[in-house]
Amino acid sequence: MRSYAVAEKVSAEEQILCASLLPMVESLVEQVLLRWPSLKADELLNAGRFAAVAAAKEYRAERGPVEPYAFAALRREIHSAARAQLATGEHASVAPDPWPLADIEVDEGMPRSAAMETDAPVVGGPSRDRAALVASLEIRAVHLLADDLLRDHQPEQDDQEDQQRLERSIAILRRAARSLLEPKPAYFRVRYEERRSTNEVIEALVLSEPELRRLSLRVATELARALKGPERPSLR
Amino acid sequence: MVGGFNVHHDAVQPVTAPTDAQRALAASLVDEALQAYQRTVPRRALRDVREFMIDELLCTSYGRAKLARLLDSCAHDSGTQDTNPDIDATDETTGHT
Repeated sequence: MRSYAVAEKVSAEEQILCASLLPMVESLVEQVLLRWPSLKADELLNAGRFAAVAAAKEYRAERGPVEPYAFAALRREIHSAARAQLATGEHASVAPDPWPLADIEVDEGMPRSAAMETDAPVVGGPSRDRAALVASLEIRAVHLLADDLLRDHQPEQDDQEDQQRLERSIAILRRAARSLLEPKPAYFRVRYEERRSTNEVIEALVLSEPELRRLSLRVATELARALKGPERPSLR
Repeated sequence: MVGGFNVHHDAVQPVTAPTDAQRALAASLVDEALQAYQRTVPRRALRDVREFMIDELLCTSYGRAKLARLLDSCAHDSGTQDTNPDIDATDETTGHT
């Protein structure tokens, strides 16, 4: 079993970082317990704390704020612990390993998208603010979906209809990527198919980080358009 | 800055339990964002991504900030509309909320 004792090897700065992540660990565990109330909270919390220590040790300031960077890793470890507890083969909804949200933040300077102009029912808030947030979530979603769809899948993970959808979705994404102008296909390859880290993508494509962010947004917009299909409004 | 380790931990705020309104808003926003993909993408992938995105909105300070801004603007909007029936016309001309 993993131990939290590694904390004794953690520097003072890393301990501060780690402590700052613990509220997020507790929130994530609460979410897991809402979905699977029978699980043991202590084991989930330990897994989350261990992941917080690891994230604090691996974090580098040039990656931006620590919280978006650590979120996916903490969640993955907590869900992995949940799956170990379930131990029944039930799928515990372990999410893919995406880039942090900060890397694809599109709230600022994002073109007014078609999502903001659709006649979709708008409830719960002023339509423009809500539509802007939904538009950024659509981009977030397509990154996560592409990450999920293009990773290695176990055949038994999906039922027959989902397997057909998976094959069709992968074909759509690859066809869409091939139809783009360089460097978008290269970005698609190294980012989604080779699953390289942000720094590796920057190095491979010889881009600055702002250039990478813009390229990432453009590719995601194209992938979203393709995945939605011809009848759906595009993001641009 | 300590030994080249420029820590951004001050951006992380304590996360209290989300309210029912925040939970409902997060779910509805994510569902709206994923709606366009429901015909093509495997349902399992949609479910996983949905849960991930809801968790990110509810369990991180930046996600909660987005929800709070929207809830605040909703409350402000309804309060303003109570006293200023011309607000919609203003929005049309300025393009701002």
